[in-house]
Amino acid sequence: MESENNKEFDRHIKAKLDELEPEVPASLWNAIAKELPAEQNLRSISDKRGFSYSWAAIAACLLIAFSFWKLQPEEVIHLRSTTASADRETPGDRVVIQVHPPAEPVRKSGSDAPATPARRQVTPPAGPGHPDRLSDISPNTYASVNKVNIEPHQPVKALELPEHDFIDDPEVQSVLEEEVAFAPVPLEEAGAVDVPATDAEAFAVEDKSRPKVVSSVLNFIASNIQIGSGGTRVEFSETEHGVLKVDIKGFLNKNNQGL
Amino acid sequence: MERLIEACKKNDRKAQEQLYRLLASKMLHLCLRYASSTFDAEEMLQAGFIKVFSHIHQFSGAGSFEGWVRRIMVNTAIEYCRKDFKMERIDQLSDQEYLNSGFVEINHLEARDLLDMVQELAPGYRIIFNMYAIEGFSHREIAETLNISESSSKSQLSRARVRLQEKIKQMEGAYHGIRK
Repeated sequence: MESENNKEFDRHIKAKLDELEPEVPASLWNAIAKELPAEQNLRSISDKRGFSYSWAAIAACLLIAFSFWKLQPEEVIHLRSTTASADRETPGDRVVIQVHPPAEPVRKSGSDAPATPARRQVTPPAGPGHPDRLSDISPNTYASVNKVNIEPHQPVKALELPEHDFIDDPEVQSVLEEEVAFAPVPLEEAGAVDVPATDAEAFAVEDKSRPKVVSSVLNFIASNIQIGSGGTRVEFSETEHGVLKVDIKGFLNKNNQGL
Repeated sequence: MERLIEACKKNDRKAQEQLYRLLASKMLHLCLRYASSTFDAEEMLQAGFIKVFSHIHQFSGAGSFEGWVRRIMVNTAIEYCRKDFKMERIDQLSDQEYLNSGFVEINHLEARDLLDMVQELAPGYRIIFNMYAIEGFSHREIAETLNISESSSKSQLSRARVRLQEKIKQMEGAYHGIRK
């Protein structure tokens, strides 16, 4: 047990020393600040972190762009009529389906046709001279796809019906009421006859011109984020088949400067 | 204070300077008691604040920040004195000697004079007196910190008191002599 005198003595000493208010030299902080790690070092670390974050963001953008590109429908099958032009449409063109009356009304075989026609056997058209398969569906009318040049801001006349209302024609009407019976045709014959060379073209698979979304997104990123330094420039482009091309411009020029 | 600490954790130099300005005087006061001179005290203070800012991310927020800084300063002061630190060779004091320290009045002594007396003590006496009488450490804590026995800590403290009382008596006597 410590004596009260000692405790009192300690309290007196402490109280007396607490009265002291030492002055801190002004130069002391500068000496401390010199010893502390520089702020730039930590900033450079944060810059490096930011740099890695930007690369992560670029990678994420690329992934999104790739998945968007991958999920797009790659091919579209066009059923193209043989009367349609084989040429590809130019951007200013529009395709209009026009319904035309037949050049001659279709008449049944035999002029003395009964009021109620007997079942008629429709044979498939043979040869390239009578190619349109839409005529199988409606013997009196057929649709043809014509290419019409239309100015971009011109209103499009979608259907141009003839003045003559051929539907009211009694002959046509009778034909429309006919029941059409399809005779079974062997597959070999059908393959040989039913699909003429021109119709094969009708089922031609055409690559839809792929919207160049990926390259435009990548070009946007590359133009906003400086990749490399100085005159180095990166350009992205796509081919018709969707192959991505990367073009680095100015890289070799810069490297060759020192040579 | 919390904002300052957070900014200091991000190595904000202005915040560090603000924190230093807040605590420097108190910590220099502490260092002056442990050091044998003002020059040594300033070196302790510098080393202590560098430690504080280097390890400030280790401060969890539990407890007083000033207490945390004070502890760092005490450790720095002890490390600084360790080169000169050696236990004074004294025989074990009897319990009677330990308990019967005389009472000395400190009426006419200036704080600066008392500080000089503390600084003139031998390093071992000075450190243990500061840790026990001023900072409030127990003898067990002192023994663990300085790697000495508790009884050694007690005897060193007792001798430090005796030395101080002798100096104070001399000073008080000189003051009364002058007055007479």
